Amino acid sequence: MIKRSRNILTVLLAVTLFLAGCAPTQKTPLVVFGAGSLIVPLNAVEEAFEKQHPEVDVLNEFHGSIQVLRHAAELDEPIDVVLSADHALIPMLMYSRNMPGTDIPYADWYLKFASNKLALAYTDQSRYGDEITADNWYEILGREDVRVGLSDPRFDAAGYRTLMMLKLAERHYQKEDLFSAVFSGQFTQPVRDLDREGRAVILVPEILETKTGSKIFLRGSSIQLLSLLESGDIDYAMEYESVIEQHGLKKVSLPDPVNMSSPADSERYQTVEVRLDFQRFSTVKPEFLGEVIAYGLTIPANAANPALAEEYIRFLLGPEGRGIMAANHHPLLDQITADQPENLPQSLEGLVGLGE
Amino acid sequence: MKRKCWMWMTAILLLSVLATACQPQVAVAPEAPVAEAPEEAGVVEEVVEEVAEEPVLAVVGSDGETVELTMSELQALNVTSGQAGMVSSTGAITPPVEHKGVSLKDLVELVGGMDETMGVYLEAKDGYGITFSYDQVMSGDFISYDPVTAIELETAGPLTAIVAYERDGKPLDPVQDGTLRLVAVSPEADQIVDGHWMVKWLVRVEVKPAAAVWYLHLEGALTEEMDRATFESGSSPHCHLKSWTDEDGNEWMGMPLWYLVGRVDDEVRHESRAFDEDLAEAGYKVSLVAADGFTVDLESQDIAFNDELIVASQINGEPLDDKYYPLRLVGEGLSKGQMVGAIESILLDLEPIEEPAAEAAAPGEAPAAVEGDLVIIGSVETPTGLMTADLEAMEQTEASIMHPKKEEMQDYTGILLSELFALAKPAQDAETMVITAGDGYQSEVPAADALACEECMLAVMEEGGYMSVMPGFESSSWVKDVVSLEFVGGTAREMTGDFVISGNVEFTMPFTYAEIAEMEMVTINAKHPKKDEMVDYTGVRLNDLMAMAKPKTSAQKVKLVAGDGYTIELPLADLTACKDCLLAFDDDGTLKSVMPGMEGMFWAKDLVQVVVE
Repeated sequence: MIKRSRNILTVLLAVTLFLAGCAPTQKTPLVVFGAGSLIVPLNAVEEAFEKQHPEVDVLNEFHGSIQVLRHAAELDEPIDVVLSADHALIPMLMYSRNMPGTDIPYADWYLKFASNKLALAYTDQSRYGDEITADNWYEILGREDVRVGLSDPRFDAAGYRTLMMLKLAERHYQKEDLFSAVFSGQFTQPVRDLDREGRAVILVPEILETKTGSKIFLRGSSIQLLSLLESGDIDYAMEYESVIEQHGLKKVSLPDPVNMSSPADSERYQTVEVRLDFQRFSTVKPEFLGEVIAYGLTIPANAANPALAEEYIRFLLGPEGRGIMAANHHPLLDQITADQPENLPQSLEGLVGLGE
Repeated sequence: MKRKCWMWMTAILLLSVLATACQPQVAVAPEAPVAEAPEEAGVVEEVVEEVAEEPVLAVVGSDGETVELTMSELQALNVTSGQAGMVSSTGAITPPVEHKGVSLKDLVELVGGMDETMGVYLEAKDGYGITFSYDQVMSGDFISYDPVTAIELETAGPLTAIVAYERDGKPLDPVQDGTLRLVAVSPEADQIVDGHWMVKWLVRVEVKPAAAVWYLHLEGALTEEMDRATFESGSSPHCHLKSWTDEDGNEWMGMPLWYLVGRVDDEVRHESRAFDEDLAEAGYKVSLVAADGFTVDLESQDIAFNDELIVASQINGEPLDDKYYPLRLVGEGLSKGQMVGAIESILLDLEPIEEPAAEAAAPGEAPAAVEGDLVIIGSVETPTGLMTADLEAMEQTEASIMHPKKEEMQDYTGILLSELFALAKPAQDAETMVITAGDGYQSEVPAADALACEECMLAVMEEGGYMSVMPGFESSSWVKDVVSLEFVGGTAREMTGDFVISGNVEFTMPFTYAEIAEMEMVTINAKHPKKDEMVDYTGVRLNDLMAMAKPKTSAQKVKLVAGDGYTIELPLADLTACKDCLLAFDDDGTLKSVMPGMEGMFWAKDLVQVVVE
């Protein structure tokens, strides 16, 4: 009897221990802050990464690129991976700023991992949508009855890139009034463009408001313009091509000299500049030079889980992540490059080609 | 029995293990790495002291008037409350919750209010800043969204922008929101607004002009990038304002083209010989270039002293329309095609010359930049930049001084401000000294008080850098990490004029004898108090000259200063009342004051300056 009881208890103990071993442990959070144009692909990456790493809970959060980096470097929030739609913002906002009480910068390297193109998004409801082409889009945007969405260049990189793109288009198509045809008379304080020794300088006023009845619809981010397009409240908006594809919108593709994606045209892009008429951040000069659109990522120095962050980046930039990004219309660069490669974590060195 | 106990204990143990295994999964929240506080050397006892309430918000008016509010003072103001929520740029919704605070409208009223030409700049403690328009402040003019779907609302109830200090009945989370945060409240929880307007960690609210920036590129023998403020100053009623009325009755206002040409035709930018008449007579081309490249060429002889050719920045009192913005050439004798708009450059076909090494800056022009870990600039004779090593090499003073918010003396080591002032030589009649910290924080103190303060110093901070130690001044002037001392107002900058009106005026006005001679003269018949007979005196009315300088409303008195240093003071009101008081030429070519009805001491010979105080 005693022997039987002991056997039963032994079995119960074994089963209990087995069940305890199978019960899920607490998940490790991985905090990822990304630019708004990465919402769709990074959510897909999250799902795939968590499948491979069930002990990890990826916590995605998305903002404008400047806000993404500000959360890490100025607000000192513990973020594991930051991904910016403008790689140049990482050294601007993170290299020069040290963690409180230390002489350790928030970052001293980044990887350039993706690009994008600007394109014109529209829908079946868009005016003149049946006649717009790659050859006449700028003329249609200039029509008085065409409503154009613009993301606010004071808050969103897509906004100031749109201004740059229109100036580049002016030069490419040799239509000197292209920029003014879209923007002239639309704002309570004008967006001015000057010619300074061959460089087009666009001045954005501190208060950017559209006049009553303006054909320009100004919103804080390019993502917000999507709902206006889909509801028919605007006819056209400049968006990243990846976002247009992800949302199934119609698209007018722009040529490389204009769409800010082509390294071969980088010198041309550098002939335009946007200046904001105010200092929005103590660390950010309000001057943006035209350049090839390039996304950058890094692991902030105050990351709570740096090793896991490296694992995530290896996944993102590895074959599976590359496939997910491509499937979501945002392919990675053929060759990942690094800034300050000597500071790269060792486990990421194998991801990069030649540094800049 | 023993066996039963053993069995029960084993069962309890098994159940406990099972219960542990069944706990729900919890993602451990990441902890922010904690920077270790530096050890303080030499601390032998902990001092517990009550520190008086520090200001939490600076409210600055368009004229610089500043009100610093503690939390108690803020909470004592008129309360505005309502429901506030937001949506991020990527669609993440924060639902409306009750917030309580003070409306931006009420705050700007504390410092003189605002009008449609102004905006309100909100600054966070990390330097982030954004400017709200008049409509946003006064009417809560924000795009709003459905709080559930984030779909944009076509119509919505009223919104009010407030500086909130309470959320859901509790003080704001100092980590998440900061002590104060800007939110837009509505009576019901039926709308939310864009998150980028909801400034966290709010520390400063400033009313400022909302005019857009533009520049006029002037190029000839010299080059100048003239900004909007300088142009508007030069085309003010007290300077070179001219107007022209077109055939439709529109009044175009600006300044004559020849004044602009005169700034870059030779080394002389802004005095009576600024426009080189001889050079113009010899002939050169002047090109006015629009933003789109359209160019109008004129000849220098046609421009010379021609007040009819006007570069206009306003039409009927308003800025120009986009088509001509910011400047258009107008005037009699010009064809429509010559009235070029959107002017961005004026180019003179002259050989460039090397800029003079130490050129005095005309009013409205920025002083030459100095660099250093500490700069002393503005109305100083010698703009000074000092590196840390320079500061360390200066004589260090030790002093025990009481901080205005603390109850005991503190020991400070540093450099007396007077030592620094001896290097830079600030204008004795400067109005304000602006103390600027590395993070952009600024505090203003009366310049005279700073200059007179014998104990004021820049003290070394433990963490490096310097803080301003200002005994007798408000705590807000005790600034950490000082990087700049700037003097505003006054006449320390070299004035290339034979006669200067300066001090508490809108425009410091230097004049040469030649400029005075070209002004409208009047002749009065008056008797010098020390002479027996009435004599004719011919000169420029002093009030006309004072009107050009435009004394500020706070001005009370004037000092007449002679070339030998003789100085006499009189109430501004007395001068204003003296319609026949003149500035006249003496026999030796210098200037003198003619002051009918006043004592002899006011009839100053070799008058060189009028200082308004």
